Amino acid sequence: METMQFYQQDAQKYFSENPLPSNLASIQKKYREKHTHFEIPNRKNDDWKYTNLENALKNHYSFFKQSSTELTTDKDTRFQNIYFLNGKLLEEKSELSNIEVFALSDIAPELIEEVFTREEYFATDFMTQFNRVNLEQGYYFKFAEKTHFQKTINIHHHYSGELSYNNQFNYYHFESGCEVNLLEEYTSDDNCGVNIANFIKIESAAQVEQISLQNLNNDSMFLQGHTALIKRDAHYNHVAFHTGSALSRNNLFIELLENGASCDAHGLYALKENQHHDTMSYIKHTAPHTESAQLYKGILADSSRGIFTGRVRVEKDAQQINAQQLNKNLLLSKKAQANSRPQMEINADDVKCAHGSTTGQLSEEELFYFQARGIDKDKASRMLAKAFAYDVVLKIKDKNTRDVISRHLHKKHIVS
Amino acid sequence: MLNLENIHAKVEGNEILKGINLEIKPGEVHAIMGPNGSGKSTLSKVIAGHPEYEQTDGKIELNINGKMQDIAELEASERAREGIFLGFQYPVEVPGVTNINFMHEAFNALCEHQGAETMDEASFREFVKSKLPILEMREDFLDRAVNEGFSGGEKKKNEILQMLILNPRVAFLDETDSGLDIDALKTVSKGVNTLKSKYNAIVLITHYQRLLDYIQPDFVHVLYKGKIIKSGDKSLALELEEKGYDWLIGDHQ
Repeated sequence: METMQFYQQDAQKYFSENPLPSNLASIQKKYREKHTHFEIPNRKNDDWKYTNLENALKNHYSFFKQSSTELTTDKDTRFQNIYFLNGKLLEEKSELSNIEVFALSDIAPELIEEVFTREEYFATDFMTQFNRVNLEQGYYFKFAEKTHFQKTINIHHHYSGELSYNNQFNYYHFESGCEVNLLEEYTSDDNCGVNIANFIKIESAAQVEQISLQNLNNDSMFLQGHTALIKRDAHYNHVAFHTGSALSRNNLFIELLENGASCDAHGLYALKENQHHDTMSYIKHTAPHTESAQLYKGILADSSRGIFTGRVRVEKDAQQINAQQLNKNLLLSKKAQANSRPQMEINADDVKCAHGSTTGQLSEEELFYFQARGIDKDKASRMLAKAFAYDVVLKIKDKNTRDVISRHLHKKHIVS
Repeated sequence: MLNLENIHAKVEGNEILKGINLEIKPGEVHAIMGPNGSGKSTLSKVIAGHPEYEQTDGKIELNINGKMQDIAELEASERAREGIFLGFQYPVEVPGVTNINFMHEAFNALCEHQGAETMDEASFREFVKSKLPILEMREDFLDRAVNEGFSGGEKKKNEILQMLILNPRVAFLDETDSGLDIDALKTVSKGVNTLKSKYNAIVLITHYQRLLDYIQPDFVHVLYKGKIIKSGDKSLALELEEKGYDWLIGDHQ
C-alpha cells in the first residue's frame, strides 16, 4: 500500500504544479474518481501470475526526477526521424513534414473518448488504469489517406533521469489505403519507469508495419499497453523486440473488426541476468474472413525469465478465420525460466486455429558439432541463438529496419 | 604426431574404452575396424573432446609446436584448432546457420589461432568454391542451412568439404562410407585422398573394408570390446572381409 501512496502523492503534487489543459484534466479527473483505490496486481491475478510488479514499483519512480538531456543526433538518413524525450515530442528536432501531429488536448473530445472506451480486455488492467490517472500530454498522429510513406519513420523514445516516472500516450491513426513503416526505439541511460499506452487505428486497406525495440537501461521498468483496431482489408504487422529493462510487460490487444482484416503480431525477448519480460497478448477476431499470426520467441540466459500468454478469441459470427500462434523459448542456462500459456476461445465453428509452444535448451550435439570445427562454445551458442531468433527478425518486411534490429541483437551479444 | 596411451573412457557411466594404444605419424593412413559396439565411434569422440565422453585413464598426446603435449585439458574447440578433425557419422542439421557462414567462422577461428590473417566473406567464398568440384558439389550447397535437408551422401560430402577447408593434421572419419552408394563413395574417397600428404594423417573408422578399396590404409586395427585386439596391414582388412570378425574375437569373449 505504501508503494501506491507514494505514486498517488507524487502525481498529485506534480499535476498541481504542472496543470494539464482543461480537457485532459477532466479526463484524468474522471479516472481518478473512478479509481480511488489501486491494488498492485499480484500472483492471485491470473494475468499477472508470473510477474511481480510491486518489486519494480518499489523503486519509487517520480515525475519530478525527469531530466532533460541532449539527444545524440547522428541521424540515420535512411529513416525519417522523430524524437521524444520523457514522453514529450521534440517538434523542432523531428521530421514531421508529411505527418499531421496534434497534441492530445487539441483533438476533438469524441476521438479521445473513443480511445478510452476501446481498451476492452485491458480496460480494467492495472497498467491501463495507472496510465489514465497519470495522463499527461499525449499525441495524435494522422497518416493521410492513400499516402505511401516512402521512408520508414523511426521514432526515438528516450527517457532520462534516474528513477524518473514517464507516462506517455500516443494515438496513431492510419487512414484508408495508406502505407506506412514505423520503427520505434525505446532507450534510457538511467533507471527509468515508463508506462506507455499506444492506441492504433488502421482504416480500411491500410498497410502498416510497426516494429518496436525496447532497450531501456537494465534496471528499468517498462510497461506498454498496445491497442490496435483493424478495419476492412487492412493489414498490421507488429514485431516487438525486448532486450532491456529489469521488468518489461506488454499488454497487446488487437481487434480484427471487419472482413478481410489481418494482423501479424510477433515478438522476441532476449534477456540475461535477472531480466524479466511478460507479454500478454489478446487477439480478437470479431469479423469473418480475418487472419492473425503470432510467433513469439524467448532467448533466456542467466537467471532471466520470459512469459508469454496468448489469448485468441473468435466471436460467434467470425466464420472462416485463420488464427495461428506459436511460442518458442530457448533456455541458455539452467536458472533461466520460461512460462508459456496459449489460450483459445473459439465461438465459431468454421475456423482454422492452431497454437503451440516449446521450451528447450541448445542441443548438446549441435554445440559439439560447432566445437569440433574449432568454434568456441560461447560463439557457437550465439550462432545458434541467432539461428533461433532469425525467423522473428525475418518477419520485419522493411529492409532498413531489419538491418537496425539485426545489428542491435549482434551488438548486445545476443547473437553472433 | 598423435599418441594414444592406455586410453580408458566412459560414456554415461559405462566403460567403453579399456586401454587403447596407438601411434599415428604424419603421412599415415590408419583404418580402425570392428563389429558394432566395439568402441570405434567412442574413440573418435574421446579424441575430439566430446564433453559427454569421459576419459578416465591414459594419455592423448599431440604434437603442438614441435612438442608432444597431453591434450586432456583442452576443450573440443581447442583440439580442433590444434588440427584434430572429426568427420561425423551423423552430421548434425543446423537450421538457420548457412553452410558458408559455418565454415567461414570455423576457418577464421583457425586463422586467428594460428596468428594468420582472417579471410573476408567474398575471398572465403572463392576459396571454398575452388574445392567444390573435387566433391562434385554445387555452389548452392553453401547457401543452404548446414546439412538441413541434405541427403545422406550430401552430408558426408559436406563433412569432407569442411575437412578440406580446415586442412587438419589428423582427421578421424567416423563411418564416412555408411549410407553411400558407389558413386558417392568414390567421390568422397577422392576428397579424402586430396587431403593425404606427408603432413597429414587420416584415421578411417569403418565397419566394412569397401572404403579401403578407394583409400589405401597403411595400417589396419581391429577394435573389440574397447581394445585393439589385432593390428596389421591392408591384408588384414581383406581377411576380415572374407572370414568376418568371429575368427579374431573368439579368444576375447
